Amino acid sequence: MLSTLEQRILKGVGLLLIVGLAGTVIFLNRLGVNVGYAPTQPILFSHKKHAGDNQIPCMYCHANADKSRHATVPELSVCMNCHSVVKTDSPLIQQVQKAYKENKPIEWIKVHDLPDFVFFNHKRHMAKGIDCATCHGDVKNMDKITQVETLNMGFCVNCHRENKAPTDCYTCHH
Amino acid sequence: MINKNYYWGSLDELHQTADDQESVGKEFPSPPQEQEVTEMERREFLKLMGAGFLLSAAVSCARPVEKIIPYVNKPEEITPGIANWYTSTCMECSAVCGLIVKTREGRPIKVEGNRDHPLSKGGLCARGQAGILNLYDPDRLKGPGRVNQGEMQEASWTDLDREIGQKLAQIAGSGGRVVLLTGALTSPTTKKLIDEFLHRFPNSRHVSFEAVVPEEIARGQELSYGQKIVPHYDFSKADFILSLGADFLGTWLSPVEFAKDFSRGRRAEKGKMSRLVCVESLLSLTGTNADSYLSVRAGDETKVALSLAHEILVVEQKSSWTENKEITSFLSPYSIEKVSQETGLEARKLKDLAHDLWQHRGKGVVLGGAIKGKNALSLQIAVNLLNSILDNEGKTVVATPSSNQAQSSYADLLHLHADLKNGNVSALLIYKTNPVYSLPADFDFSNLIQKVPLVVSFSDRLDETASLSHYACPANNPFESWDDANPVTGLFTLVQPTIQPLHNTRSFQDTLLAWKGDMRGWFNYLKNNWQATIYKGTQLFEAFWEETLQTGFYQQETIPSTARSFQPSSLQHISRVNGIKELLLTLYPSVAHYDGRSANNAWLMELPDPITKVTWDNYLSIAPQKAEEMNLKEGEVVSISTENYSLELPVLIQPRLHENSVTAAVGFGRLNVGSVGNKVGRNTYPFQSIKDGFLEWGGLPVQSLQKTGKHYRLAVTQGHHRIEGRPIIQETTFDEFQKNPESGAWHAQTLPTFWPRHEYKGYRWGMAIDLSACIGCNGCMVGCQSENNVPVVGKEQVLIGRDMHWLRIDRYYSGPEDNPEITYQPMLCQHCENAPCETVCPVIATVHNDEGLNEQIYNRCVGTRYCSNNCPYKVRRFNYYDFWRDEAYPLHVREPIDQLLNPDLTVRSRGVMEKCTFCMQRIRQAKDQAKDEGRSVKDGEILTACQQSCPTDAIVFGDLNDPESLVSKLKKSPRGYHVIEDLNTQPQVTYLRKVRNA
Repeated sequence: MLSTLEQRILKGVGLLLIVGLAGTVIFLNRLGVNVGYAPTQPILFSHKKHAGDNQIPCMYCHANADKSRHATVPELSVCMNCHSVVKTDSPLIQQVQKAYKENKPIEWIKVHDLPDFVFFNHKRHMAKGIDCATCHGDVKNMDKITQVETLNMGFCVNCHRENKAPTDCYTCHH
Repeated sequence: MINKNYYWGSLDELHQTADDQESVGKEFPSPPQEQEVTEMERREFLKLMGAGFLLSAAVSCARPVEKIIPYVNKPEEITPGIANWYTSTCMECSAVCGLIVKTREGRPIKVEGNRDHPLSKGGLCARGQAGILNLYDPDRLKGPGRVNQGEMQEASWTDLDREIGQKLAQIAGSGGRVVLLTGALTSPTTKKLIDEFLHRFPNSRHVSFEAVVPEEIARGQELSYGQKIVPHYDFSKADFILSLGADFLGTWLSPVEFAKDFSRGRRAEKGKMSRLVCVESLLSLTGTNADSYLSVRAGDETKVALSLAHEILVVEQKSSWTENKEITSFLSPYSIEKVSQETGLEARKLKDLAHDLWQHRGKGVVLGGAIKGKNALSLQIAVNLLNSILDNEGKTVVATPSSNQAQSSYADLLHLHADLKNGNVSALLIYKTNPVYSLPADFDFSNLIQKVPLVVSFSDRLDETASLSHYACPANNPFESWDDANPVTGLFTLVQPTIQPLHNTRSFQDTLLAWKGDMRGWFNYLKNNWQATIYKGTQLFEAFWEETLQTGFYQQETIPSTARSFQPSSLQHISRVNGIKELLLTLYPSVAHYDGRSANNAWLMELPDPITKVTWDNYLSIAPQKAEEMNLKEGEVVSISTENYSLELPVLIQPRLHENSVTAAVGFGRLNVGSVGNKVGRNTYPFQSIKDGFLEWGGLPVQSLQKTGKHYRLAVTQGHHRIEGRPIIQETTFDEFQKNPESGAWHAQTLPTFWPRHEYKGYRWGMAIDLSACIGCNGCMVGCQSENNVPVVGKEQVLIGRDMHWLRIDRYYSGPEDNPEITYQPMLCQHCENAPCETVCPVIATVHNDEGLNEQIYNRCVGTRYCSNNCPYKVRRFNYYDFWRDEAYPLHVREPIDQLLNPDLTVRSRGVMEKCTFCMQRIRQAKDQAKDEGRSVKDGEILTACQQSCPTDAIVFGDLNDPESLVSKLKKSPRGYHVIEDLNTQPQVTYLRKVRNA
């Protein structure tokens, strides 16, 4: 027969083990999952204002999404198409204008970042008519771009299976 | 034991020596490196490992911040992720083949042959393809500067222009002599600019000298035909080729062009196959591909040529030249019987050869000889005589178009030597040549140039010559600037820049223009010259220029020449070499290293020699009989001396080499080339001697050859994978083939299999490799390396069998040990139907896809290496280290090499297996495009990297499900077979049996 103290200790240890195990499972499950990732960009660019309020089509800026693997972030000259006249009094826009004048590219922080061994092709998905929001979320209503989908292999493969798209490993990994 | 059908990779394997038997059946030739024994206890180890795991888990939670940096103003033609291709010209040697350059986001990352180019026709050699790595060489000079005692002090171009300009003005004022010393230039516009530049300085000269150029051809032509030109050799019209030492498939004049035309004349299916006979004193790549091979002492090639002429003219009384007494009397001492006695060749063989030559008159070609071979000029004249009496002159050997690919003159250099000695040179400008390294020691160039008041080097590094100069004005890499080339008369090609200069360098021509005070700039100068002197058409020049940039070349109309008449008086220049009994040393340019200019190129260093399969070294090749006589073993270091020089070199035993010959490659032992190439191998240039006003390095009498008692390990790749007598090579002769196309076939019984058959509903990719066409040049290996981010591992790793080439070329010997037949076999992942690798992978990292590819998934691989162990073809490669990232390895990514990587596939990290993917990134790209256009991929649309640049079109890739595709037709060819068929792996790669024209 164990003493009360011993029982207590045993219970405590058991509880600790269970909590620890659960913690580990949750931790491992969240490894590499970046949902909610929303880094602060060098210039506070609002997609809500551009794509939402002013209804600028995604493809106006991300012009290569239907041509290349990369959707591409627009070159500064595209910003200047409007901002050489629009809202030139805003300090943020002045930052953009300054960078353009000094021929210094802006170093944006990548939000939707796949590992180096994954090759995703924007063009093919555009050609199939997949909406940008499927992976990037409701960008039109985001002031600050936030990752909303896990973008892990399960996310990709589920969609590929549902749409009878190829699930051959070489589709993404080479 | 020795029968014709027994194939062996090395002499040790043939003799089944103890060393060899020990390693049979082992996956790696030497055991893995042992861990150091430490004092650590098991518990402590576990504790540390646990802590390490936690730490690494914690670190991997933190998400790496990656950046997207868009252009400020995007150039119109660039779309990130999509490659742009530009035509250009290869500047790695004076053959100047046509190129197309692949650029991604403004960076050239791969070069391939230009399929429309009239000479190279899409082929490109190993050196040409490796040229792109030189652009990103971290050891290049970063800008101009003053050089003092080999030390560089950086300076600005403006300062140097002023300083050097003043000095040049002084020299011009005082009537001093300026000499511009260059390599073999083929650029017409550069030559024009040089002439204009030197115009200011009276008594000035342009001297062209390059170490590995067969300049004796032009002199021979001058004596025999009165024209100092290098003729153009047309292999497409040649049914019978006699090469007296000319390595026309490896390093002689224009090897890619010759290989292309040569291989087109050897397609057994077309019922016509040219015959190649080689008479050689060293074993060249061409010699290994000969249908009939006669090995002679260096210098005896001339006698053989003259004996053939004697047989045709004097004995058989054929040809109209029989009447010419001057010739017949000259030939009288060269009867076949006599020459056969002197050379040890069988008289019957020579008689047959003479007969064959006569049979194929007008449709044959006789070539001579080895570059800088013994008695080279005599041989040229003898060869000219043969070509004339055989009516080959004017047909396969033509004066128009003539070749500009050997414009180098040692006579001019001797002239310069005299001037230097007398202190008559006020300024010496050196471009694209490295005389301090490549001239013989007694030329004393390094001391002589120190007498010159102004020495300027345009080299891209402080090499042996540049470090003795006063100013380093590094020229751009060819990928960074404009240029043009004129390989044969009437054909002009352009070099287009595909990247801004990476460093503060300036093109050689821009520098000359600046010193000349010409502000036009090189590009305008070049374009103006094309408009004024090169373009002969009637179209608007701008339109023509745009078109030429697209095609890469411009061909003027030329009138083909007729036969020139041979001048019998030239025979008087033939000097007689009397039976030399001593051992002769012959130097040669190796296929990978040529004259040693790209010694800092890690791809080329790790490229095995086509014949010996040695990487990272040069060595002394010696015949098996001689080795036995001297009791020498492979890897023993010997000391060899000739009249000029002596050197210690490791021994390599080379079957088929003449027993009186020892050979060694030039191009090694560089001292100031960079971190990769410095002190790799030994410099053999100092052995050269001077004969008839030429440098000679063939048949140098060996004064002593002694053992030193030292041993040296040569990194040979061939021993790594053994065949143990398996039937992996199949061959037949042309006669047999014509009687029965399936002759020489061996097929295994079809075995039942437990696995369900794969179904292919769409494409099914497959490859066919023609062993008859493959000449073993290694071009595909570098193509693959460049396309697929294959790392370089260095000599130490090659020694323990860890070379990483996805595609290798195995060289097999068969038949008698002293004169074996040689066969090359490209070996790569066979993408087996029943792949042994797939069934043993515990994590399913290697799987079969529904297009027949055997996939290797890097992110899934945990590195058990079971697959490699189970692969019968030994084509899987394991990343034992982070070869790309770890500083210990030659090609670790030092800036700017990272810019060279192909962004379309993963750079593999430590601990994963990799192998040939059939260039799946190219398959995907083609499928992508086909999908966009709503069609399926066309046959020939996908060219794998190995196939694209193959100079002999030995590799064909395509869809096996399409019955009309070339590859499906070849798969059904009666010559087709699979390697190690008996294992029932059912590869997607079909080999086509080798056909010899014996």
